[in-house]
Amino acid sequence: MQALFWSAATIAAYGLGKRLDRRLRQWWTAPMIVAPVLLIALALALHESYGAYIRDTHWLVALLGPAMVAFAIPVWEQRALIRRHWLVLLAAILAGSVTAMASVWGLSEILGVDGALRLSLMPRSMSTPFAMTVSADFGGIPSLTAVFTVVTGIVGASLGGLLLRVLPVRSNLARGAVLGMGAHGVGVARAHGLGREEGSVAGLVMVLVGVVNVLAAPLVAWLL
Amino acid sequence: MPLFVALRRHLRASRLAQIGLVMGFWLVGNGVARLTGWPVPGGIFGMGLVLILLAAGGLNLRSLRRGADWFLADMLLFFIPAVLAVLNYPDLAGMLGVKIVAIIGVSTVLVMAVTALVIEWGLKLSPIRDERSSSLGARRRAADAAGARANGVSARRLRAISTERYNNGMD
Repeated sequence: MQALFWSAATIAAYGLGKRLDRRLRQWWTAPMIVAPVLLIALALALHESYGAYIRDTHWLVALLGPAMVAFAIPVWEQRALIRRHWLVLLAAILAGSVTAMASVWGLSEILGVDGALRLSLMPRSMSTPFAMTVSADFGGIPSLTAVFTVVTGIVGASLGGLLLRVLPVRSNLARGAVLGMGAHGVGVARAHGLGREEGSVAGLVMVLVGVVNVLAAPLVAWLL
Repeated sequence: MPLFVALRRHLRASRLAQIGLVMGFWLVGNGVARLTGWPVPGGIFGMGLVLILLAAGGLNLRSLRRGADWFLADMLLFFIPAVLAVLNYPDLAGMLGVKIVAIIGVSTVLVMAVTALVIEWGLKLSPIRDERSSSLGARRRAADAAGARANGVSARRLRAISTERYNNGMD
């Protein structure tokens, strides 16, 4: 019964977040914010620990595995875009990923954030299933990485709009790539609001960033 | 053969069967990961397998698309439980949390700037410019302008409209 309770509460909080967002459409009504806040409040009120909560709901997290397979579909649908711009996209993905990891490393060094916390922060700039995999490879804490990934999505999508006005970006390709690289899933949703091409580019970049990083992670972990 | 046809028809009509098929590819991917011993998650092998089958014509997009969309549309639900890990780190509610948000913010600005610059430079350098997207944008703007003229809207008003549209998309 207890096992069902937390799973049901999680699904209900997510459903509620989605409906609220459709009604109000504010940045703070995103289900990505509302659902965790509701669940944290409930867990605190019931004096439930994370260990007990995740024991009942880890089956949901396990579904991120097959979700990775599902990413094959957007990649396949954008194969014309890959054929046309593979070199530019690959260069941007590599440069963006190196910037993400190196800047987190450097800033953590300055601010004195170290150990597993720093390692969990490094893969924050990719879609969650990939980020959690890379975090495990690095010796970080995958669930903490999920938290940082959510924060990155929210921060990135808000900063993205501002940056696209300031940066010298003219092409749809660059606009889509900036949002897909900097703010993964939330950025992709934002990019779809800009235009169909921006949305497609952002979605493709997000998946490719994940794949490239997951493939490179064992090597980077060995260097760390 | 009729059995195969019936199965295929069922697969194209049933989202549940397609969700099962996605999971099937994941399980096969996990098997491959275990057999090869490569430190890569099964999901990546599963994704590669699906792409190879799509390219070889052994798998039709319609047999998988609805199932895949189900996983992608509600992916947020799958990682919400992991986000509750913050319960284990009450420190994050204090100074440490501020530091981490600052790191994420600064790092994200750098990532976005580098990505934008690399793409813009790359497009300038590469012989095949971004004609398709720029001509698409130009065509869209031209069509907008033509439509506006037909409706008796001035160019200035049109610019205001497109800026507004742009801002709405960006928040």
